Amino acid sequence: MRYWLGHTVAYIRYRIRPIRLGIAAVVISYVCVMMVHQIVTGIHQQISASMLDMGLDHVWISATYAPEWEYLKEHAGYFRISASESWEYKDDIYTVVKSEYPEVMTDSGRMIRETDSTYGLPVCVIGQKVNQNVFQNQGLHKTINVNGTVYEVVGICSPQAGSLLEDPDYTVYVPGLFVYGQPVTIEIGGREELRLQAYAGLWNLDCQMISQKELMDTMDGLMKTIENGLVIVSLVSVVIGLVAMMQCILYEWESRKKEIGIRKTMGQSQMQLMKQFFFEISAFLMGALGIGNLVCMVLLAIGNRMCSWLGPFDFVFGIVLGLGTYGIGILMGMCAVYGISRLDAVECMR
Amino acid sequence: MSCMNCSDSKMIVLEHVYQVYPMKDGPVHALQDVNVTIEKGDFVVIQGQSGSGKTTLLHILGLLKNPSEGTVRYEGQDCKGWDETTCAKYRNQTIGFVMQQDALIPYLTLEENIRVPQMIAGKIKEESIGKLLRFTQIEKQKNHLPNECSGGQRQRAVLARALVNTPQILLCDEPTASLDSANANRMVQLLRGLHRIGITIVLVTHDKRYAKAGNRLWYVHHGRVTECDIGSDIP
Repeated sequence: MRYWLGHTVAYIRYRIRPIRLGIAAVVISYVCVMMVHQIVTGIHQQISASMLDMGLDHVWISATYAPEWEYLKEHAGYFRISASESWEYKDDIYTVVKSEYPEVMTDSGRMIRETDSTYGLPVCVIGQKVNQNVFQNQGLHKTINVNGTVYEVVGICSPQAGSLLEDPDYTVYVPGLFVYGQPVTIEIGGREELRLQAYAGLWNLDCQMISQKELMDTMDGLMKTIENGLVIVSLVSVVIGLVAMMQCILYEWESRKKEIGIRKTMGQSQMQLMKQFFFEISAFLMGALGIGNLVCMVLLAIGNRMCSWLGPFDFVFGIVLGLGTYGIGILMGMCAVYGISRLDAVECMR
Repeated sequence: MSCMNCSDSKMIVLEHVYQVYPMKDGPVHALQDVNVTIEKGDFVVIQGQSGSGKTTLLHILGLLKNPSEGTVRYEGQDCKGWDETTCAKYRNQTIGFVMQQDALIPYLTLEENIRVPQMIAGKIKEESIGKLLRFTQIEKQKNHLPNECSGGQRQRAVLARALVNTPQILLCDEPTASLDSANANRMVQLLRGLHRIGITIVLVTHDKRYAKAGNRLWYVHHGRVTECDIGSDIP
């Protein structure tokens, strides 16, 4: 074994220049696949984390025709419903806001009460940044006009942690009503300077709704489809890389016909020739994969300084991809080797 | 592998051997009705013009090629039924090949080249490699690649490699063809020395100077083999 490995090392040392193109092809395809995987996985995890931060008790509404939301419809690509523990109530209509809902503490003033919703009182609670930007921190008991309705500010929210998709400090909470047992929160999407989040009655619900969980599942499915697509593209890319490598090796073998003839003359059997070439292909592939992994780790180390969401090197995927590449490479290589090892010694030496 | 019951001294016997190559413009008869016997300890010199069938004969003697027709017996055993692995094993353990120039693996040093037959056999004997390096006087060049050595040194390395598994027969295909006169003489002297210690040698050469190097002389003409007297002139 030691001597066979010695031959492999000697061969690689002697002929590294002609075969380096093939090794480079495998390295490049491997690195591309790994990096695309890291990027897709990173984005997926980032979005999932943001949505989880929002909580799973949210429902997204794509459209509604309730008259009082015409303004919102004009300005919003989507509305959002937040569900509370009241979610379990299945009867007709319930008051939307309880004292413990939403999970927002007020710095000053009070939170919206059940009675505010029940009687449709024009009061609201505003976020910290609304208070700062619109009222210069003097918002309590001031009024705010939303869609022609004047609401009195009865509370200022405590600062809240935001996420990728929302900033609760830019929120105005107004009383609303349950629809089919669901409390509703409406958010204007797309307005960066001020988001309006209102609790309001949707007496005639005429919209499509999707829960946060369903949305996440849909997104997961979408990301998985993208990932699967990328895996297929990646595999094709890896196969192309391997083909390039095999072409280089095959070219080499063509130029090594005489060597094969010499070895056969000395009594090397077809099996032993295949063993020798197996060592060589393994060495090429392992070398290429080793370099590929090293490059990936370096790129990720650099990339994480700029985009932390890229995350650490995915060893599991790396191992699976490495084994896949190695397996395909060995299969393709040995198919070629089988043909070459059957050549007639005399023909080889001509 | 060797014939345990073989009491006679016949090493190789060829009976009614024909070799035909099918070509576009009709078959080429490389060998025709060859009937020859090589005894153990013989030094056979094969001569003939280019394309006469010398190398084909050597390939059949070396189990590199099956004849189109006829029987090849090695130590009394008919080789017809031998598969590729059996032939390869027999070649490795019993036959040594000395080929023309550039018969070394270019990326291995001379010592590694010499070791190859032992690696194939799975038995590495470092002391025998050392002895052969000294015998062929390439000890100083043992760590050199073939392209770093002279033609004579390379050819002596090929000889050393052929001897490393202590073969019973040495088949030499024009080993002096690419050598200058001094190196060619040196090579033939080495072969004579090996013959003296009992190795059977078959030397294919078209150099008439070496016609009398062995104890038997065959002349190949149009695929037919004729045994000539050592003292006689070759046609």
